[in-house]
Amino acid sequence: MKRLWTLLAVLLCNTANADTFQYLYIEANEGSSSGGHVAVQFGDEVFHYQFKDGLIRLFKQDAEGFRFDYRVLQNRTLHVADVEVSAATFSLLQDHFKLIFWQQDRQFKQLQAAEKDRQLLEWLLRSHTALLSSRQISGYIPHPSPFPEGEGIFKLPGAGLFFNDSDFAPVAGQLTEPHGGCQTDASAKTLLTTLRTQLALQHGNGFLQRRKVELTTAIQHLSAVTNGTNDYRFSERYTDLLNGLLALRVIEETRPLTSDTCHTLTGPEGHLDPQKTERLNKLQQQLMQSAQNLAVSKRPDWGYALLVTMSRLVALQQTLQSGQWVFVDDFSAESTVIEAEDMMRFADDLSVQRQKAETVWRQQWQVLGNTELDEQHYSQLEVSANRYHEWLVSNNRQTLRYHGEQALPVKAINLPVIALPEFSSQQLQQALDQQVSDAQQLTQQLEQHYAYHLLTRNCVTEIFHTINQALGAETQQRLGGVIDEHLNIVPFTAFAMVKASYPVKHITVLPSHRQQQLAKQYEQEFPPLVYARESNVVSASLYDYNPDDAWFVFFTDDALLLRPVFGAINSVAGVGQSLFGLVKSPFDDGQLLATGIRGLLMSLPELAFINMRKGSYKFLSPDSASQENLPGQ
Amino acid sequence: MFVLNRFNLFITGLSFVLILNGCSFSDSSGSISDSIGSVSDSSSSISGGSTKYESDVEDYTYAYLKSTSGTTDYADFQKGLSDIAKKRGISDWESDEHTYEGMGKALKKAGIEGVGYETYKKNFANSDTTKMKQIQHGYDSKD
Repeated sequence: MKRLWTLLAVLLCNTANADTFQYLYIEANEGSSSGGHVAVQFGDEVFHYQFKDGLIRLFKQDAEGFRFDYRVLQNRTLHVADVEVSAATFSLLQDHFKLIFWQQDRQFKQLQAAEKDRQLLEWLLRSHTALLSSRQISGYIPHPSPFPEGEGIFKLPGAGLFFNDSDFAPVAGQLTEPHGGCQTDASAKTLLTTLRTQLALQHGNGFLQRRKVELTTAIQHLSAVTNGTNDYRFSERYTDLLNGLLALRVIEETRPLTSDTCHTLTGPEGHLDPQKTERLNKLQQQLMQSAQNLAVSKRPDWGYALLVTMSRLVALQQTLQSGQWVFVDDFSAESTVIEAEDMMRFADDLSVQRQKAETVWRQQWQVLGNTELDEQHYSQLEVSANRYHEWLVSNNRQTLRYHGEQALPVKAINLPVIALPEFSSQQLQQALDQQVSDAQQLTQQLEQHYAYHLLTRNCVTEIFHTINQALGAETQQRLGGVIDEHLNIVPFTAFAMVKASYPVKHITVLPSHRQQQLAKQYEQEFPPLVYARESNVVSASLYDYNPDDAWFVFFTDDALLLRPVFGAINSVAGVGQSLFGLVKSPFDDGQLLATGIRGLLMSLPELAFINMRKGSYKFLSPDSASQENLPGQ
Repeated sequence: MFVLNRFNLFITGLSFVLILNGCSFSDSSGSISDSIGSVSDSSSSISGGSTKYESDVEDYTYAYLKSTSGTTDYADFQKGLSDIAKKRGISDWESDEHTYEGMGKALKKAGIEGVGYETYKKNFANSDTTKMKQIQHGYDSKD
């Protein structure tokens, strides 16, 4: 009775100025979150806790992408509970999730920076004697890079747009330069000479030299000791200052882009009419102003921003001069690459994506004349152009960079030794000891707060913990019930608790991609025939084998009664893959064996009527998914 | 029979553990939705536009203000801003009015007033009058 009154009070209170957030339960499948997953959605943003490096962290994702990931690619059914609350409650919850997200983000970045400090100091200490003997602070004489080849933990993002590692090799020709068709000598000369002249006009003739001395002195006097209030760490300061020095060097030497930094979209498409040319001219003026501002900026990472801005200015100049689109390559070095074998296997899915990339690129440059072009829009155009270009060149190269385009180019080089902090061995050792202790302390703190635990701290418990924390003593009053995070640890049962405890206005079930397609087939064809054909991976028309899935024979999500039988057969498939993997393990580092064991483990619960095997889709695009199956539907 | 019972127990236990293991893990290479053909790719995150960017700046600044006690490390704060702008395709965030509007909104949301507000405004804007006006505008526009 008491609960009824509370719910009534919540409903009456909420009707006046109501808002709705969503609690999402994502069904289980093989792979990550094998027991299901949960999330909350406020507006177009989804918050969910994920496991990373032994810790459980809050992640923020746009709702469209989240639903596409889980519902289409991971082929899981989503259950969405619309929870109606007052606008004030909605704000309290949303603000708290955002607050936790940004606070965690900062904490994890601090740990990352402390770890980088330690590594840099260790390296400096190791190389101290050799470096001191060869150091020449003034000028830009290349020094031997003491970082062992391939170690490359310290990269200078953006510097690779104008420099190669070979530019800083101790012996000329020691490192081979990458080859590409990016020839921007004339454009860079025109553009960067103008920039240099402008800077001289504004700040005097010796500006570049003065700024270089300023930066070099700052590097020499860098302190490696943190004072507790300083979160901008030593390694970040050092790399930022180095990037500043290199950016100034680009202006000084009017350096062109490196030969593999840009590409041209040749052909009739992308013709520049007078209107588009005018837009690009305006953008160029805007970026030129940005470059001048950045050269004197006090923000710590102005060097990287200046390198990016200059690279785009050069690409724009090249575009305007040649009348053909030239763009900076915006793929990161860590981009996921699809090899020829997968390109052939998933040719149908990939061709849909290729078509989409072309359409998006064409649409974007065609509307260019009608809209104002600012840096953000240009970034969008650059990403689309890169994507389309990647599909074009993949035909000849037989590989495709699939993940990894960046909104700002990040092409990096290894840390060049052009200026060094002046530390004695004793200072280095002292700083290193402190950094080790700092890093340990930070790690302990994070483990204490965020260590993952199957039963006490998982994605379910943390969602309820955050909700209860946000509303505090008012949780009961604002939500009509308090869900104890200690007692609700399983995604499936937690969803039932949400339905029973919170003012849930509506439940929506969004079937997985395969289920959606299957329903259509049932409507259009003879159902028993559809069932027989689609129940197994051999004859299914709705599923092509995805190598990310462990071997299985039967889908068990729509076979409740037969599930144990199908599960037994799937288990045998898992055993088979494990044995095959065992034989192959010397050649693939045991990857196939691990997948086989995973498949076996995922099939065993099916013997107890618990569905796991649904299959997943590696390269499906929204265009090839049905209209009803699109995210957000 | 004993063996069968043990097997059933094993299966049930294993199923329970797998069901409990309800946490998605984050792939360091990024979300699937970052892929070249996905709807949620980098270009669509850029196309979130200035509103999204300003909202991110506001949330980040608010969290920074709430979790900083004592002296503010402005360089560290600015590095965080660069990360946000980078994801939205903005390299020169200092020339973007939305950066300062977002900061102003965050200052209001954090309930910072009087001398404290003026100090933050001046430091965030690096004493630039135009940027200070943008912060003020953001501050005044926040409910």
